[in-house]
Amino acid sequence: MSSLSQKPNSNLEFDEATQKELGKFLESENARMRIQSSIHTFTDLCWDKCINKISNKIDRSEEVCLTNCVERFLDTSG
Amino acid sequence: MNFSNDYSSTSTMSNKKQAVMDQVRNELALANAQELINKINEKCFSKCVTKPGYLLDKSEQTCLAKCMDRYMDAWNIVSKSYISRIQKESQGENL
Repeated sequence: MSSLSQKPNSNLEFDEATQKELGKFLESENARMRIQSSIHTFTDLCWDKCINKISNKIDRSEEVCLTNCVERFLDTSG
Repeated sequence: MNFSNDYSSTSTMSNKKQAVMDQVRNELALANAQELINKINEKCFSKCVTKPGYLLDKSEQTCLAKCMDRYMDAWNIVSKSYISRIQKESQGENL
């Protein structure tokens, strides 16, 4: 375990294949994060439009409204 | 969670790669949860606490708890609609 004597940063280097793999990984995590961020925005917006009373369950008409809300927003933004 | 210790004690590159990936995943999951909690707090406060009193009364607390569950339901419905829309559009592009 010679690496134990090294500074943490000095053995952080990755070979080229690993760097590529990590790059791909970061790209896909980034895309996932962007999608999640959009979902937060849509939920915020559509909650205000579709949910009036807090009940024990989201009812059918609210569910339809939420789905339509997302679809129509995306129609609007192209 | 002490990743800096992991780095110095794991010798293989594969372990280090895994540690980096795990850390990125953890941090993104945390950021996502924080965003959700902030939204729930904001939305449910305005729905449930219409006239703030000296303390949160029982009915406001019940409302807040239910509202949190409903907001997460809404999040999941929106998520499903959005993802199926993305899939539809990417299929369209491939045709």
